[in-house]
Amino acid sequence: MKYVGQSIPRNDGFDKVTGRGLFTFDVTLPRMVYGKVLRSPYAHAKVLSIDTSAAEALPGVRAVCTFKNTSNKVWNGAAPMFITPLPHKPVLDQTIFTDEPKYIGDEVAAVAADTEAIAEQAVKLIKVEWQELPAVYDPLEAVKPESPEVQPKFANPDFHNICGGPIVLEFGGDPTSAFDQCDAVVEYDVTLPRVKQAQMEPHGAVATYSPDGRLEVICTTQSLYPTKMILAEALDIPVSKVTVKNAPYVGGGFGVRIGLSGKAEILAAALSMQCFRPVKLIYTREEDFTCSDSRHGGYLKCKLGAKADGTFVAIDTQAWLNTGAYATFGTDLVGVCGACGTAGAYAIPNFRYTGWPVYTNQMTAGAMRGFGTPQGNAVVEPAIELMAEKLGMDPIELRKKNSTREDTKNWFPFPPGSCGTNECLDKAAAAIGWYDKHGKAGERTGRIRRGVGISAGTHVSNAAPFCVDYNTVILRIERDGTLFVNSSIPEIGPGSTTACLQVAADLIGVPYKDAVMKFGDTDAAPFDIGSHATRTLYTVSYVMADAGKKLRKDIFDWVGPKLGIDPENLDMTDGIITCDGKQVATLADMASQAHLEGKQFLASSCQVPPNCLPFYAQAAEVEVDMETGMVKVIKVAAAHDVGKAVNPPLCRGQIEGGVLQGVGYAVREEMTYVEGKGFYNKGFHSYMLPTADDRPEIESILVENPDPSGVFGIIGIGECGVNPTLAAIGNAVADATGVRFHEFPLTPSRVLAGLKAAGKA
Amino acid sequence: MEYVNASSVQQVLDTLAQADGGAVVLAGGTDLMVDFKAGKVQPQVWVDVTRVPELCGITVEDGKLVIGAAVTLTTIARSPLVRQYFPSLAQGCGTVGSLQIRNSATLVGNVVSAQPAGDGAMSLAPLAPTFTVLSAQGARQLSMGEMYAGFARSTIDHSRELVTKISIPLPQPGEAASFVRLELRKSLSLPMLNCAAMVHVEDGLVTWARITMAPVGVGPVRAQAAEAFLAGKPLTDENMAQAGQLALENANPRSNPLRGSREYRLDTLPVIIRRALEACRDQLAH
Amino acid sequence: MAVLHTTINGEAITAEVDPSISLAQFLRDNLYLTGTKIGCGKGECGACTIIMDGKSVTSCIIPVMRAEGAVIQTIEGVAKNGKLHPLQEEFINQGAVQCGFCTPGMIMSAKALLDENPEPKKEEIREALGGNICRCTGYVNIERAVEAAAQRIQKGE
Repeated sequence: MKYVGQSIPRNDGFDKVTGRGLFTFDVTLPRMVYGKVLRSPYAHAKVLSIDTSAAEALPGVRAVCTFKNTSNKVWNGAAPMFITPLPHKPVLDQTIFTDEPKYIGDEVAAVAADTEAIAEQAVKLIKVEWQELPAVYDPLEAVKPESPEVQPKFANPDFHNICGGPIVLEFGGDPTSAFDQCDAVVEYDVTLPRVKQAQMEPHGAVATYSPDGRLEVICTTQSLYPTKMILAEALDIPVSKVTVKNAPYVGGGFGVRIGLSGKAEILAAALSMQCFRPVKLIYTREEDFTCSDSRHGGYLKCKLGAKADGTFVAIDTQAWLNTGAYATFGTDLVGVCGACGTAGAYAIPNFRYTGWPVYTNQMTAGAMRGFGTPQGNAVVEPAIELMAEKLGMDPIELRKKNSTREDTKNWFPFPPGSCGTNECLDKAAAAIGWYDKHGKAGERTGRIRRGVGISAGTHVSNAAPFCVDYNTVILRIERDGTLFVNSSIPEIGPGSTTACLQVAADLIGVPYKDAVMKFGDTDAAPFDIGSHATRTLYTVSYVMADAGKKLRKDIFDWVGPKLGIDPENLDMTDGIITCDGKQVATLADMASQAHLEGKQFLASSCQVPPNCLPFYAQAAEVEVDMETGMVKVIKVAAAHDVGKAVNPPLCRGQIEGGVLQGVGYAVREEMTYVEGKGFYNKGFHSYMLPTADDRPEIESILVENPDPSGVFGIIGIGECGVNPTLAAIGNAVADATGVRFHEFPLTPSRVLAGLKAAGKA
Repeated sequence: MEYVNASSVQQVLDTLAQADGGAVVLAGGTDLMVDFKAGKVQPQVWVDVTRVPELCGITVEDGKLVIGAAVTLTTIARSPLVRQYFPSLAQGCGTVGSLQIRNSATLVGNVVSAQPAGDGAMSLAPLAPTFTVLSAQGARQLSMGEMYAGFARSTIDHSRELVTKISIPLPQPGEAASFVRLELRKSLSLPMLNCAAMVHVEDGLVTWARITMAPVGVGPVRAQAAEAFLAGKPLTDENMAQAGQLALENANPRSNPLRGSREYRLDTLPVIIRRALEACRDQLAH
Repeated sequence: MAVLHTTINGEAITAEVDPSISLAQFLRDNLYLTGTKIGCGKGECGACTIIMDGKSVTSCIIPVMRAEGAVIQTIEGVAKNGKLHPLQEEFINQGAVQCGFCTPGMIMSAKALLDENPEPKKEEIREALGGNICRCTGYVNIERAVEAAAQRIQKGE
């Protein structure tokens, strides 16, 4: 391996540090007009009448769309619409516009005009007569039969306000009877907030519909093909005539645009189909915060049983998650919460999970980094802590005793792969000073108290076989011997395109330096699901390995006869073709010669990649002000088994960014709903994600146990950084104060109330 | 819309008078521009005062620290004069928004925007400042309390009046001031609560104390009961804690969905008042 | 409309502008200097940070006419003659760039700091960057990049 493992500067760095790199936000096209949306001020209402005549009459207005003049076909704006494997069916419950808005912010109409100001003015001129209808906001309220129905047409007919599900996962024996055989049983419940991805580039799209029936959309999606398919289906355009591309850069994703970006793409497209001009529609920060999928909040409870020696016997978890007004990923995510969040990290012979995706009249919840795993982790890891207390064991020893091993049989339909949990636990513990600091709550006095906590877990490195997740790549060698890779993955920030090229250069045996990847465009290559599920590098590498093998064969089969060497005896590294270790030609020369003879070396592959479990552990140290309830996170040590770090700084960047999102989730971030007004958090000033001068020390620790399924041993890392952080911090606060909290984030108000209730403040 | 980059105080006053209520004085603009974009202020004329030389200095005159109305919060936070006489004012001004905001925003703006818990305004409040206000009708001097007309409402009519400077009596021996902020985040956030204190101590006894706090009413609210209690007493742990409790007598906080419930604010107000007094005591001990 | 005279990235500019727009809008929409991003439009995220008369400011809430007579630097003017500034190079080398949407503003905040104070303490770096939100990196490598660039600048680069 010449390039894999090297800290190579990312290939889009120059574009991004000079301001040259284009984002959707930066795109301007000839004759372009601007879109603005009319959103419901009510959580649930009926539009009795709508009059757009004044808006239409305003000079500069080019199109006005409502539910009256656009398709009312139902669809699902997230990727599940086209990646749900048979025999399951996705929940289709959205339309472009609605005459019965189901949350504050729901789209009722939109306008395209020559300037944003005119469009805004025109939106205000649309007259709507509303009839307010009863609404429900909390999942535990919404499941009661007497509560208003959110999606009467599309909810599960057998369960009130349940979206798709319930999701029941079972493995091994019956946990109910297994608990009887346990020496110790503990229970823990937790209430989790909605949090927001808060990616830096707001949702946006520039859609151009031509009168001859072609639609091209430049947008912020992180999954280009699913978006293309959704647009084609919802707008009744042949899939072949829809192009979806990034600009090519996307200002972050974190799950919020797996499928449509809010609804930017389809709103812009609908407007463009009326005025035949490019329509640019960029969400305001307020729209982004209050009208696009958040992380699921909700209620979880977990029962864990073990033998006296600490061996886990049974676990039974239930979750009621607030999926909001529309499905998007509601059903899928609630499944992952159980599968990855509550199973997989430990060998527990009797496992059951029941998840309820609950419709409410709030903004939809959907995918956000971790995709249900952080929620599951947040209920299981404190339960393990309680078990350790009950059994008088060190929490790390208890986890190590039960962690999943290579031969563990568990719920997953694929082997766990390499299992680095124990090494991660040991390294995180050492980095935080665990054995000097843990378990001293009784000795701690004074206004400020410190404590440490730990959490371990797992996730996935791909979404197959739970989703229709596959990739396609096309590899070619240019006339001068340089490599060109076509893939329709996006670059949403991790450096996927840099790391993929490092892998490709080693797989094929060409120089990295001039290798190029065309990405972020459905015209670049056939189907790829896009960046989600911690999978981009792991899965694209897998498919490139197959295509790379074919490409080398294509090269050697042509070069061999030219040189009079059996192709079987040829090898190539860094663009040098060798036989028995001796250079016989350069790829550059051979490609150039091949060109003159009408031959280009190329290969493609379309594969369903495998999957494996990424294991990790994080330890946190916190400081609690016992008088104000202020929790300050001092340090997080994050040890992740990444199999093989293809590009260590990029890999650490994934961990560090995830950890800080987890810190926000644990102590500050929360979307607070105010009845009648909607979410209070309409911008960065009212959403307390961490800033540079608030962050704790973050120590990222790369553990490298090569995975048998991953190319060069790679395991997924993308989402993992955020998954265990909240639980580690919660456990640290319990260690510092002696008080176990059941509601997050641990804001000063909540902590002080808890300390007071426990007689500690 | 017209935009006037004013070069003298007279030009500002003339422009205001001419526009007869249609012009608005614009200093840092970090609040006003947001309101303007939201359609909450719609002036015919912006009168930009940031380059008026008379409004741009920090000086000591006649026993007073004088801060011009166009001086940015960053300049105040870094000013050697401010740091020498009123480190707590430098601290409060250095806490507002973010560095970029402080590079534009002014202390007068932080007062005139009339948010109760502006950190610059709070750190200024117990220092007995006087605001000089000019208009076509002449000059007037206002105290801190006289600057606030109600919740987020200033007594200054920014379409007709110009605040030119803040004058603060220099501290005397035995005096110390402090500022405490209870915050969810260091940058880009309003405080959950903030408070400031100034005390004069002679022979170990408090001669007077000025304690201000927010958001517990209109503007920075004086903790009069606590101030009265401390007069004549030493700054002992017990007295400072008691003063913190007494601050509740003048506090009527609301609940905020983000920055703490009324209950939380009532629980922690005594703590931060006590900490502000402790900080004064610690300064006097050195 | 009003006439604006200003200097942007060393170039004297005279332009007819609508005085009600922000400096960020002027830079992006009139001059196509789209390196300056707008992440919130309210001065709450720092993506639009530029340097005006030596100070970092959020250009989305600066009225365009305040640029009259001012000297302005945007991200497009940081590299000189095709050579990247040490900050730009270190942002790449240290892994301080991910999605890149905050990067121009972040670099401008850091540049304003180092122009004034080439030997910043850690707290000064954090103060300078506190108004620039990044959701990707956890700020770890951004801080590291500013430190590395400062060291190179101290050595005379």
